[in-house]
Order: sequence, then C-alpha cells, then structure tokens
Amino acid sequence: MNTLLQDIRYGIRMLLKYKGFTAVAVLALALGIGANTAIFSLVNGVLLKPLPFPNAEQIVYFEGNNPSSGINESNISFLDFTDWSQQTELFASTAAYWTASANLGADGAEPERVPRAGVTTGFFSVLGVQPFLGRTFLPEEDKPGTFSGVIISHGLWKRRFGSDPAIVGKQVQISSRSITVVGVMPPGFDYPEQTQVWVTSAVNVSEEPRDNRSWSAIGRLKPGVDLKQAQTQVSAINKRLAEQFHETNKGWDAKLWTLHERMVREVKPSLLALLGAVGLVLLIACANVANLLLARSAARQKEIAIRAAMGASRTRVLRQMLTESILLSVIGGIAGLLLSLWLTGVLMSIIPDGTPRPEHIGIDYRVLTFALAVSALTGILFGIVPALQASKLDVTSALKEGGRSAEGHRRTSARSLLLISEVALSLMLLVGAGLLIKSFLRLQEVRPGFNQHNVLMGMVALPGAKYKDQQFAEFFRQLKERLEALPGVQAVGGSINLPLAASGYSIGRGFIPEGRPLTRDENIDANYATITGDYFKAMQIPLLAGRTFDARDNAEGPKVIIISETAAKRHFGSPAEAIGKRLTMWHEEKFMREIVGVVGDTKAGALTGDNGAQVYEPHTQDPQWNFMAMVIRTADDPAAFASTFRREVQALDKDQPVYSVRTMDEVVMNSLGTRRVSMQLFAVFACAALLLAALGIYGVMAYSVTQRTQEIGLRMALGAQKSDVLGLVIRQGMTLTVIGVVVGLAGAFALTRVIGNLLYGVAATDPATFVAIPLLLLFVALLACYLPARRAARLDPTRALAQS
Amino acid sequence: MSMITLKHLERFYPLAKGKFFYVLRDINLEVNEGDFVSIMGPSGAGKSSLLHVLGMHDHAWSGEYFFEDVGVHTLKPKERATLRNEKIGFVFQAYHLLDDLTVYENLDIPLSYRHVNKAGRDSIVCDALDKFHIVGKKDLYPRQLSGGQQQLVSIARAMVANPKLILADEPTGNLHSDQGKEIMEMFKTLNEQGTTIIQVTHSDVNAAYGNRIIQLRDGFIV
Repeated sequence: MNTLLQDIRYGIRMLLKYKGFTAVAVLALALGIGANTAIFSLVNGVLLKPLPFPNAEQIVYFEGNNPSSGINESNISFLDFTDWSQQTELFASTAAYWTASANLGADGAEPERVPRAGVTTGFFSVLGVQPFLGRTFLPEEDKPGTFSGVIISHGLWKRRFGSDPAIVGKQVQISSRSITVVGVMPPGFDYPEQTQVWVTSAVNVSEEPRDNRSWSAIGRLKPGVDLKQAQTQVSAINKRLAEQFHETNKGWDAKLWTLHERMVREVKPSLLALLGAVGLVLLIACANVANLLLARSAARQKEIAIRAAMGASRTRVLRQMLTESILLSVIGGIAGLLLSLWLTGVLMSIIPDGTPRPEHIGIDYRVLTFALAVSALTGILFGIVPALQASKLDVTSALKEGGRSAEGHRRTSARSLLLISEVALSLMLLVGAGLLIKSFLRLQEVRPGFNQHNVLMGMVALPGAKYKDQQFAEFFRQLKERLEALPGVQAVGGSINLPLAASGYSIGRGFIPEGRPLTRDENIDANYATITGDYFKAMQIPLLAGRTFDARDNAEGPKVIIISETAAKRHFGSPAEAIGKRLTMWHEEKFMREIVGVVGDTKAGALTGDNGAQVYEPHTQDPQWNFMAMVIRTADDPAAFASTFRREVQALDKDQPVYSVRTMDEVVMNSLGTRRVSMQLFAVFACAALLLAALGIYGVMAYSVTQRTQEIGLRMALGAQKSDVLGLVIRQGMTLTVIGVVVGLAGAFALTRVIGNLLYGVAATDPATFVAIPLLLLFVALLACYLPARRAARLDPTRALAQS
Repeated sequence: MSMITLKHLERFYPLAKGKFFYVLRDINLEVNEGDFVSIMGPSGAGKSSLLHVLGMHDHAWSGEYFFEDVGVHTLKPKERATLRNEKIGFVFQAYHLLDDLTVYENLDIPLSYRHVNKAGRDSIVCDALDKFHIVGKKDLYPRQLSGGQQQLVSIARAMVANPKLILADEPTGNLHSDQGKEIMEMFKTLNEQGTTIIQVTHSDVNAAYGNRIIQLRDGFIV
C-alpha cells in the first residue's frame, strides 16, 4: 500500500512536471470519456433502467399483426383479448385499455386537453401500482357507456387542483361531464403515453365488434412463466379464433413483447449505434494518448534503467507506469464526467419528441459507475502497451555512457500500430457518418405530398356530452369561416388524420370497388380521413382529376369520396378513369360512394413509408368524428397565428381547449427526429475522430522527425534536397495512413451493416461514400504529415549533425 | 575467501552471416572478499561490459560465474535480480540519480524495491544521510547539487541496502580532481569497513587506491 502511494505521489509529480502533455492527454480523454458517459446516460435512462413497476420484466404487451395483409403493428380486438385472458392459465392478470384525450375545463381555469386512458379494472394490478390517494376502480364500476369515476395523475392533482388533500370524492369536469374523482396516482406514474386521467373502459361486450381493433392490452405473467410460453399459447388461441371467426380473424395473430422492450424498440437501434460510435471515439483517444505515452517512455528510458539497476522488478516498473496511466485517466474521467453533465443537457435539448422515458435520462449511480469503469479501463488500455514496452528495457544499453537514445524497434512498431489503428477507427466512423448524412439528405428530398411551409395545425376535440353528430360538423364549419375571415389567412381546412401521423391518429379502413363481392378477401386496406373545409387547398395537396368536396356534399346529398393517386392507379387504372366509379367502405358503411376526385399521395406515416391507398370522406357525410386537426395556411409566419387560433376556437366555446399547436414545418422536422439526431451526433463524433487522428498523425510524424534529426542532417550533408526530405517524411506518414485506410475499409464494410436499418435510400456499402471518405482522410493525413515534413526540410544540416 | 569466480566467460554480439563480435573473451577471474579491484584498459576493451556482467544486469554471456559459491550461470534472470538486490550496489559515472526525486527519495527507492517497510526505510535512510554528511540536502533535487555531491548521493544510494560488493563505473569521470579525490577517499573508507569494491577507471591515481589492477585489452584479460 505504501509503495502504491509512492507510485501515486510520483505519478502526480510527473503529470505536473509535463503540463503540456498532461493537458493534451486529459483533454483527449475528457472528450472521449465525457461523450461516452453522456450517451450512456441516454442508453441507461431509456434502455437499461427497469420500468418503475414491481417485477416489471413480467409485464407483457400484446401487439396485433396480420402478416398476410402486410400489417405488422396493430392494436387488438377486445373480444380477442377476452379469449386470450380466459383460455390460458399463464397470466396472473390482464387488462385492456384505449387511449384518447379529454378536455379539462369549466372550472374557471384555462381549458386544456389532457391525455386520457379508458381501462378495464385489472389495469393497475397488472402494473402493480397502488394509488397515492383514494383507490382504483372496482369491477362493478366498469359499466357499458358510462364513466363512473376518474383517477387523476399526481402531476395533474398538483398543477390543476393545487394538491387538494380532499380531492377524492369531488366532482371534476372531464369533457363536459361531471365525474367523481376516486383516486390519485403516485408521482411519476403516467402509463400509457403520459396519461393524466384514467376512466373506466365503458366497454359494452355484447355490442363490441370482434374486428374493432382499436384496443391495447397488457398482462402480467405468472411467476415462472416466460414470454415464449405465453407467446406459444396466445398464437395457438389465435389460430383457433381464425378458424372460428374466419371473416374477422383470418391471418390475425398477436406478438407478445415485454412492456419495456415495446416502449424502447424504435429508438434502441439508434442508441446502440451511437454508443458504438462514441466507443470508437474513445478508442481513438486512447490510441492518441498511448502514442504520447510511448514517446514519453522513450525519453524516460534512462530513468527506468536506473530503477531497474536499483532493484526494480519488471512488475514493479509495470505497476508504476500503469499507476501513472490510471492517474491520468482518472483525471480525464473527472473532467469527462463534468463535461458529460453539460453534454447530457445538450442531448436532452435535441432528442426528438416521442423519445421514450426522457424523465429517466440523467446521471445516476449506474452512469457514475460506468464513468469510473471506463476511466479505469481506459487507463489500462492506453497505458498497457507503453508500460510493457518500457518494462522490456535493455538496462545495459540504456545506461551506457555516450550511447544515443535511439528509439527501439519495438517501440516504433507499437507507435506505428497505434497510428494505423487510429486511422482505421476514424475511417470507420467517418464512413458511418457519411452514410447517415447521405441518407438524411435523401430523406429530405422525399416529398411528403403537401407543402409544409406556412401552415399551422392545431387539434380541437369536442366533448360528446355537449355536441352530437352534425353539431360537430357545424362547429368546424363555423370555425373555418371565422378563421378564413382573418387577415393573412389563405385557406383553412381540417382532417382527422393528417399526414406523417401529425394528428396523433392513424386510421385505417377497408374499401371494395363496385362490382366486387363484399367479402373479407376483397377488402382493400386504406388510410382513412374525414376532412372539412378547404383541406386540400390549405395543405396544397394537388388535385389530379375531378373535384374537391363542396356545398353539394352535405348530409342529404349523394355519398361521395375522394381517393389518392396510388389508389386510383392500382384499382381503377388511372386518376381520370377513377372519376365516377363507385366503392363501398365495407364493414363501416353498406352503401356506395362515388369517386368525385383524385388527389396526390401523401406520406400517411413516416417519410420512409410506402404510399398506400388513401381515401377521404366529407365530415358532413361521416359526422361521428368529434375531433379535427385544423390546418391554416397563412401568408406570413404561421407560428405567430397560434394565439389567434386559440382565441377563435374559444370565441365559439369558451371551455374548448386547443392542443398540439405547431407548424407543419415542425411536424416534418420532427418526423425525421431520430434520424436527424443520430446523423448529427454521428457527424460530431466522426469530426472528433478525424481531428484526433490528424493530431495523432501529426504527433507521430513530428516525433519521428525529432528522432531522425541527425539522420536527416546527414542525408542533407550527403546531397539530399529539400524535396527529398519532404518525400522521406511524408512517405513514412502516408504509408501508415494508407495501411490504416485499408484496414478501416475492411472494418467499415463489416460494421456499417449494423447501421443499415438507420439508412434510407443508401446502401450500407455505398460506393461513393466508400471512395470519398478515404480520399478525405488521406488529404487530412497529408496536411498532418506536411507540417513536420516542412520542418525537417528546413533543418540546418550542420546543427542537426552536431546534435547528440 | 573467494567472492567472485569467473571461468571462461565470454560476451559476444551476433552479426550477419553467422559471425560474432566478441566483447569479452575467455575471462577467468577471481575476486576475494575485501578486495579493491581496478579494471583498466583502452576504450572498447570491454571494461564496462565486464562490470555489467558482474552486476548481473547483462544476461547474454556464456561460461561460469560463481558469486559466493552460487552458480549465477545456473540462475534464471529473476533469481539473478534477487541475488543482485541482496548483494550488489552500483555507482555510475553519470551518477544516474532520478531527477524527479529528492535526495531522500533517491536513497529510499532501492529499499522500497527490496520490500523494506516504511519504518525500516526511514531509519536506514536517515542513517545513510548522516553517515555521508548530506542530511542538510535531503529535500533537494539532484539538479540543485554539485557534481561531487551528486556522486556522493549516488554512493550513498549504492550503500543504503548494505551490499557486500560495490561496482563503480568510472565514478570520478565527470568530476574535477578535488571532488574525485573525495569520492575515492570515501571508497577507501568503505573498503576498509569490509565492502568489496570493483571499479572501472582510466586513472592511475584512482587505481592506486585499490589493492589490485586487472588489465583488459580487446576483450581479454592481459
């Protein structure tokens, strides 16, 4: 212990003596460790921290799918859920729920829209959560068509109700209904989807259609039961249901996920790729510091030889060198941890909306342990090679008087290998970044099908207790007229289902063209929207044939429909040929609708998605929809119109909140959110890697020139010209760089496949990227070699030869 | 009593095409306890090489080497290091003090490498500082000392582990004559107290302090 303290004391002294070296090394390590810690805090919060429920790994999520119809992710049927719950013994409890939102108002405060969930009575016991105040729902409270009580979130209780301790039993206004508060959930609980109020499911089992797939479901596995067992049983049940209910259940199954996995699966590949990328940056930083240490250990040969002569064993020398390395890495780690606090804040500000579990991202004990472990491992990683090299010293040669302290062959090889590694790793990162940047640019070229500039959107959801059917349509008609009359407004419309899922809904329905049998097999899935006002004009979705909806298309008029270009071409030949044809929205409607218009395709979900069939009905002819995403095209900045929009809505109904107000530019940008952030971070890491590699090359070449000063002086005395010396030095550096590039290319071919699912429109082995990036790296390396080469070429041969 | 016996010891470096360059050739030598031996010869004769073989720093030799009847030639390098640490101290021409350690720490380090505990090290170092009259310099760094003072510290460091043999490679080579005389007087005192000394020197004056001279020429003892 005492000798370890000796080594630590000496190590600190050496670090203070060589301040320049220490500063450069600490900076490189701080960047590497800090970036890794920040990204790990993301990974930890999102992927690693368990859900805040008891035995959370036993909670599963049921996700519907119908591969034969091309449906991979779907909600489920309540009746199917009932069968799974009743026909298997593997679940301790199950629950189904729907999600929506609700108006809070009529209590004098600003009306607001809050996320709401309707749950079956087992919901809270599946999650293992007890209320903070009051109780959860009783089985007898879940009555069809009514909400007997409401449970509110802790945050809402604090914010909206002033933490009223007597809230349980009070009446609150939820979507114009007075409902009794029966409980308050504990702090931090907001499942699902940041829910603020929970009501009973109000499901009417006897009238519930089996193919109404708008429900979600969770279950808690019994102890000792694993996911695979449960999946096997549920799939077997679904097979039976498909035979029993052919019309509604053919091809349908459910995939079971752990709830955690289901929540994070979208972002998991990006986060892991980022962690890999930032790990490469740390490796490059380690290689840089190792090279610096190797150079220093060459200068410390005499010291080490003296220590060996004084009796130091090889192990003791190794320990001393590693102690110094770990000391350096601990200092770098502390600096890195401080840097990571700032970096984590920056990351939080740029992560896209919808990133799961953002409240769990931060520095906790796991992140601190990670930082400490990375610091220690880093110290060993970059310290071991120089330490091993130093401890293998030939004492006799090092202590000989008059001997030149020429660098040993082994040390030179080690430095060369480290440099090649740096170049290879940098190339891999640069290629990854290049692919992501190219992919992002391709994505930005994808046309969403509408003009997103100068358009403001905002959601309005009218309470069913206050409005009915045509009253919904009348409200939105009046709203449209009020908004249109305002200066600066060019067009106003609305849709229940905006492109890029901006309204928060993605609604699918099936249609069958006239003349085909009304059977399940003939059903063509389409993305469905009910629209109002001048929707297509406001969104600038082009009309390709026929007309848009007008005053003729009211409740009493002939039933009409507008379809998308893809739907027209696929099922009717062409947009022009589709006009006048008829179809039925099979299952929801039993009558024909005439196609009066064909409009351009829009991206219903992600920009990367395929254009499927899209159909539009006028709100007046499908008035059941109580909500609308209004879109307002303005002459000037649409964001400045937000408060005016709210004012106009509340002029019609003072208790009516407006929510999700944002510009369509923001919607499009947010739809690229995860990809944009991944690309930006990868690009930053790649630039850092390039800089570190360039510094590494420069450092190695500068040191080499210093070591070879006498040799260069001799060559010049023998007749070498400046260009010969330049060539000598540059050739040495570029040879190592080229080897590093070749190794890096091989590595990039292997590793870029890992980010393949993050790419769009670009192959993981895109030739242009694999040519351009190495050229860039070679150019940067050439610059890094040139500076020391120029210094070498300017040496005075006389002075160089006089050096000993 | 014989402390060191060398029989047919040779040290060579391999060259290209299977040839060898001999630094020491067929060295046969005996050194008794209490001897003060001076190894002399022209530059390149192999004097320092012989010293490093005797000091068990150099392992690339053939022949037989007995140290206090222990066959060094039969020992592994780690075993030789242990024997060296117990028995031998080194003094170099260039002092070879550790520049970033104080005088006290330079004396302490050999004891630390021999796993002496802190209390023991403190006691021994204090004794050494006193014996060599350098107590006042204990917190100074080598760069703050004169050449003679540095060599004194170097000798103190060599002695601090109480070796039976001191090997000195041109101990006064970097000193002027007064300082050199002081150092040689110190060696003489140590020898009189029982320490065997083998020095490499070019100086006849220094060689006169010893009781025996060995001449080396082209790797041979002449």
